[in-house]
Amino acid sequence: MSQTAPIKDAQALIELYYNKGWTDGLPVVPPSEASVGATLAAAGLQGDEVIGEIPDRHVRVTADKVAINAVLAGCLPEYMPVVVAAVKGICHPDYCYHGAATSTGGSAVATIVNGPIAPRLEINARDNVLGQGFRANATIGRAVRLVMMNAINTRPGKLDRSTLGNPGKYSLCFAENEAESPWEPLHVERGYRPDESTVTVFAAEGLIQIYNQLSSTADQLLLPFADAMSNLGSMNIAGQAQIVVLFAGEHCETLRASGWSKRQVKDYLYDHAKRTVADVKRAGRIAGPVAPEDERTWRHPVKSADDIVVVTAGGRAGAFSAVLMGWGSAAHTRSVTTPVVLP
Amino acid sequence: MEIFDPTISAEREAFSYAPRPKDLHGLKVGLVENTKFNSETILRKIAERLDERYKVKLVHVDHKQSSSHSVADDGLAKLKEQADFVIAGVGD
Repeated sequence: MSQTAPIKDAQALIELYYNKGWTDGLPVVPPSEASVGATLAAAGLQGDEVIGEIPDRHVRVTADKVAINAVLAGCLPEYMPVVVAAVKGICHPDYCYHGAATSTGGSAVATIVNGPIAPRLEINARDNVLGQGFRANATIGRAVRLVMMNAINTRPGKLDRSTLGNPGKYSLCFAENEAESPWEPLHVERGYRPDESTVTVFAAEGLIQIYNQLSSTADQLLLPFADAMSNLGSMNIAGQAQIVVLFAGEHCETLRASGWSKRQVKDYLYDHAKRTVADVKRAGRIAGPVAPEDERTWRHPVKSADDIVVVTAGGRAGAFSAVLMGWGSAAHTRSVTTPVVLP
Repeated sequence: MEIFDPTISAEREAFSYAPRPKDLHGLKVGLVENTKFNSETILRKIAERLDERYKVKLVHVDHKQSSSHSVADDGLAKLKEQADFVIAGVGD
């Protein structure tokens, strides 16, 4: 699994990993037999076990390589089952790895953790949930990206053809704030028990923060979300992939006080997130001349209300939430939820 | 110090190119349309030109699930069964 090099100094070792092209540009944690072994053991895996396969890339991702990349990313060994579940998710055919990872659209892997594993590993679900400062969030997401780069050959300018990329490509991992959510958590909605842990991966374009500080009713609160979801520059307005809507503290309380179910929220967002086909054609996002009926025909950014993925996360204070737009189209990709397997 | 290689090399699959037709006259062509804008337009235009010049007959157009997906097995089977040669390409 390893080879030796005549290097005595830790700094030189870090430089070696960088010069080999094995990093995301940030310094990595050089692995050792002990750290890689502990990481595999934490997930109950043997090094040669296949975690997933990307047939279009002729690659089978093995546990030892996932463990090495997890250590490089700075993961503690106990994060490994979450990393493994995320890697299984991006290898699932529904995720459409080859498209999502290669596309000029430059998607990040939004990695959403549910269930008891999240508080146990201190995966942040509250203040600054999409920001810095939390080891599990930072390094689990980073490990997924390093697996993509190193094990699945997804390097910028080569098999990652992102025009811009987005900051979430370094890491975009968070837990759902189940304790303060007005609704059942995402994994329960998808058929798992509350005491099971899961990882949901979603090919995400950029994040749009939603500020709405004066609305006291659900219908008023949700209008800016619907407006952001239907922006003419998104991939969604043409491709209708899924969208993740992330509700944080004060907005959650408004929705809870309104008594709206998650179903009602999704239906309302679907009904109000729309543009006329004429508008979309004028913007050059759908081909063809504008026909009279296009002025009266609506185009939604998702195929159905069920394609709006609602998650609760973020701090209690502040009237901010977010929309994570989807990469590609409904024909390309769907979010995938995978159970976390503990040894 | 120990170096741990985090990479995996893609598995190489042996393949060979199908022999190119020596003469297109009277052959049957299949098209693989990748769903991107103008893909089908340009492929059908090419098929028309081939018909004009070589009496090539268009026998099947395969529509992929998306531009990122491979041709599905049933689509491949139809192309193998019906076409003498196939044209695929990206339109955008």
